[in-house]
This record gives sequence, C-alpha cells and structure tokens, in this order.
Amino acid sequence: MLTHPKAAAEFNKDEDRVNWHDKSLWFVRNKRDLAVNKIPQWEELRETASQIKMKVLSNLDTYLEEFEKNAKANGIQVHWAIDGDEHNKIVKGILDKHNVKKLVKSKSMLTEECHLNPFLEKHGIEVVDTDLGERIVQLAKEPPSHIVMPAIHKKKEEIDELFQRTMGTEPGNGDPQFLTNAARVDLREKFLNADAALTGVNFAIADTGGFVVCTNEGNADMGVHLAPVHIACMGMEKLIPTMEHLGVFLRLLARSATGQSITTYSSHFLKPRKGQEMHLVIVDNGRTEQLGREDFRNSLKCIRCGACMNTCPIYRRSGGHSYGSVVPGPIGSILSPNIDLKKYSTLPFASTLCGSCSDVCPVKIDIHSQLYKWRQVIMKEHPDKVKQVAMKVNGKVFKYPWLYDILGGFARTMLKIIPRGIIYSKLNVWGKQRDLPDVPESSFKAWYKQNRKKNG
Amino acid sequence: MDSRAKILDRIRQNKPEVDSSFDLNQFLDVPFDDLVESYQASLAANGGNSLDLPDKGKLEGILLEEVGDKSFVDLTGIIKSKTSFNYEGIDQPKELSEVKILIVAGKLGVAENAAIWLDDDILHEVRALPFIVERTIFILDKNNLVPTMHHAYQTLGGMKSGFGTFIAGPSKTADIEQNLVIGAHGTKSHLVVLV
Repeated sequence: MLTHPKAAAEFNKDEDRVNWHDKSLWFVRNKRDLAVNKIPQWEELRETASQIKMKVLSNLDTYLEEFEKNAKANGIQVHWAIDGDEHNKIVKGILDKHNVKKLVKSKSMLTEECHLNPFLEKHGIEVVDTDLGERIVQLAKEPPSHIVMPAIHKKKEEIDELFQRTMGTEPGNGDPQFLTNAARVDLREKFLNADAALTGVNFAIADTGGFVVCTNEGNADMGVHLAPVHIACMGMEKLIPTMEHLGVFLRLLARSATGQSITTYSSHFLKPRKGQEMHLVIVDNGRTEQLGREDFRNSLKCIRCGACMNTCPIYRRSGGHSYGSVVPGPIGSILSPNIDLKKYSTLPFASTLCGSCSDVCPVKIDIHSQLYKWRQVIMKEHPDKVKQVAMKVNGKVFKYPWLYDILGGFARTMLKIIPRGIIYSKLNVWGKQRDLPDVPESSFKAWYKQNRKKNG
Repeated sequence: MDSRAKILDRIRQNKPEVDSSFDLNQFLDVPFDDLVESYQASLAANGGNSLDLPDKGKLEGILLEEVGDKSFVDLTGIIKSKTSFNYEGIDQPKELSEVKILIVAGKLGVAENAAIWLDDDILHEVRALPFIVERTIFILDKNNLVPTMHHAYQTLGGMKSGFGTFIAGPSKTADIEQNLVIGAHGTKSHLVVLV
C-alpha cells in the first residue's frame, strides 16, 4: 500500500520541483491574505458561516425535505443516492433516457469521489472535463492534485507537450495565453455539440429549491445553457437555509480560494429553461456517518475552497497526489479516514499540527484538532508496535533515577565513538534528513552540581 | 426502504443538537466608501473596464463605435440605427455562437466585487447569451450600485425568475502555473458603462 510518507519521499526526490510547488501555492495563500484584509468584518463572516452550517447540520433532514419540495415545484427532478455506485447509476440512467453520447462536465469533486468518469466511459459515453485544469489532468490521465487548481503540479512546458501529443496543437513554448486559447477552441466544439451537461453544486438553497454554481472560466454556464439536459450533483451537506445566506458564503469562498473578491460567474439555477430537463442528485456516500461522529462532523461544513491546502507546509512540500485521496491536504486528511480508515491511516499524520489550516478556514473547521483526534483513533485501532515498546522502556528508565544516570553517561560516550553510519541507521527515524544535536560533555545534573559549588 | 428514506433516517439518528446563532444585519449596517470609485477599482482588479458616462445622450454613439461591423445583440434597445442579431428566430442556443457582442443592462452592481446581476427577465430567457459572446457591454445605472453582497441579496429580495447570475468580469483562468489568462470559455472582454 502506498502511504503518504512514501509518496511524499518520492515527490521530494526532485528538490527544485518541491521548491517550485511550494512557492506556487504560497503565492495563492498570499493573494488570499491580501483579499481577506480588505474585509473589515472577516472574522465575523467566518463565525457567521460556521454558525449557519451548524444550523444546517443540526436540521439537515428537514432542510433536505424543504429543498426537495421546492426544487420539485420548480420543475427540477430530484434523485437520492446512498453511495457512489447509486449516484453513477442514476446519472447513467438519465443519460441513457436521452441517448446521450457526449457529456460535458464542469468541476465536481463529488463525481471524482464517486469515480463517475471511468464508469461512464466504460459504457461508451464520451466525458469531457471542461475546467482547464481538469481538462489538463484528464488528458494526462491523472487525478487532480488540488480541488481548486487541479493541475497546479504541472509545469507549463509539460502542458505544452501534453497538448501537442493529445490535441495536435503546435508547439507553443509553454505560453499560457497560447495554451489556454488552444483549449478554448477545442472545448468550444465540445460545448456546441454536447448532448448533456453535468455540474457540481456550490450551494443549494432550501427555501427556494435552487442551487448556485461558481466558476471563473464560464464553463459550467457554457455547458448547461447549450445542452438539452442539465444534471447537477451535490453532496448533501451543500445546503444552506436561505438565499440571503449566500451573501456570507460568496464573500468568503473566492477570497479564501484564490484571493479574488468573487468568482467571475456565480450562477443561480431555479428552473430549467424552456425545453430543457434539469436533474439534481443528492449524495450521501458516508456523509451521514460523518454526521454521527461528534469529533469529526464539523468537517461537513467545508465549502471546498482549498485554502487549507495552500497554507499547509506538508501539502506544499509533498504535492496533492501524495495523499492518494480525492480531496488532498488537511481537509482531505480528516474527510478520507471516514471513508476508509485503513487505506487513509497515514493521512492524519501528514501534518505538523501547526494549525494554519484552521486559521484560514472560512467556515472555522477545527482541522488540526480533528487531525490530532484521528491520530488517537488510528493508534487505538492500528497500534505502532515499535513506539509502544519504546514508550514502555522509557517509562522504566524514568522510574529509576540511578538507571537514568547510568544510561545517560553511556549514551554520551557511545554517541561520540560509534560510527555515523550506525547512529543514522534505518532504525533512527528521527535522524532522517536531520542531525542529532552535539553531545554535551557532561549531564545537566553534573554541570549543576559543579557550578553550584563554584558560585556558592 | 428506498435511498431517500434511508438517508433521511440516518440523518435523524446521527444529527447533532447544537444551538447556533448569527445575525446578518451586522453586515448591512456598516460604513462604506464611495460606491462608484470602489466599483471601478473592483472591476479593474477583475480584468474588466469601466466608463463613467454622465451624458446618456452619447450612449448610442459610443455603443455603435464599440460594435463596429460585428454581429451583436442589444437587449437595452439603445441602438436604434442598426439591427441586432435576431435571437428569437433560432431553434437551438448553439446558433448564438455567431453573436460576438452582447449589450445588456444590469439590474444591480456590487461595489466590493464588481458583480452585476442578470436574470431571465433581463436576458429574455436566452441564458447562453452572456457566456457565448466574446464581448459583453453592461449598462449600469449608478443608482443601482450597492456596497456588498449582503445588500445585493437584500435588494434582489429572492429569485424573481428561473435563472440569475452575478457576472464580475471577463472569463479567466489561472490553471497554467498560476498565470492569469483573460478569455477562458466565456467573454474575452467586459466593459461596464456607468450612467
């Protein structure tokens, strides 16, 4: 099994790349700070958003029922999926009904979570991701490495080479303007000829039965306003009570995500256009279970801005792919263990617990505390034998001061005379990429006795 | 039990009972800067252009100059001496890809982020228009500027039609090494004429 430490070690073999990746993300974190500082009531906004989401989680059943009732009255067809498989089958059922062969998609982390694309492709449906970053990773046959900037791990020269190979584009010297335009031309054709369009949902509003989709590229709108069928897929926690609450969330989302004051397009869907069919799939896939875990339910407040990734020293230096989960970074490390504790058991340890993630989170999720809590759950269920034995030995040594004195002197002598290669062997995990401090001449006890005598 | 019932049942078993309290009014009663000035600054940051035009009489002339010989749709009725593309005669929205410029009057503009509200009523239910064209020209009455998103939703007072959208600038992406490129899938340029 590929663990986070192993995958991160692999990523760290290319030091220049690590530094480049680190800087790219810190650039975004910095933009976030600039945008946030322009809002005088930022902390009040965060607290309000957190409280609104708490209200939603405490009344999720009634809000979902209210939302469904209103959405149906608006002419939206509402579906419920208990897990990823059911979600995929529902989507395929709708596509089959309309004999859809070509589907355009805007960004949806939920469909990544449900592995919708490979499922539909297996059944002969052409699926085109239309967000530029998602299109890049789709063409490269890779998963996204970030939830807001899916291709943040790729260099422009690599994208240039990828476009030449997959789209037959002329070499463009890695020029972002040229490459973006090449993708625009190619995807415009796909938009105009799509049989259906699928989007995610940023916010669903209980009291109107409508939903909001945010993009900068305009790809969600290009897809749905041209295609005869619109399918929107949402995790059930995307709900908010009323439209007025959008004021809070739309102010927080883009500032946290990319340092913009708002996304270019914030589209509010209430009814299908004339002649169009609109479907909405509400998905559980483990969310009800997370709702029942008191220590971890706050993670369901997440609005998927990615700020915790951009600020995380571990994410920035290990890359999104090292997490092996659909949502990487700090928030991914508290969401993923809920889905599969064994598979993602190393993720809560991919953190320094510095708390920066919690500080930037726009809905005030206590991310670093949850990481710490997951560690405790994991150590109970999958104890680390080496550490257990080490702690037992330490306990004995500290119990007998005479034993501590003898072993201390022994260690000071041995560390000086044993060859480096043995001290920094594989058993010394602490000594990986760092040196032990210089060995002191005497113990503190001996030093104290001597100096007390001297100074009287 | 079907999935709907199962999900709702699980929620009822697992949901927390936590009190929450918040007050949205605290965001409405705040001092704000000059709305026109901050609107223009926000728009510039989003990659859009603005034009402060106190003399409404000059509007048609300016729009005609912007349009040139390109195919356009004018939903404001300001251009009298040239004919718009006839969007009513089309069967499928994709036929709109011939249209290069859209001229439309925004319902309101938000000073803190330059977003302009359009909805089905304003768009005559031709939702694809502001996204499929290369250039949008918005006419915005300065009296319809509000300071923040909270004020915007208060002014809108709910969804009055089947679709509505805030548009804050030209389409853009930074998906290639964080380099900002204007003109992703939607418009390549975005002009707001403040009247």
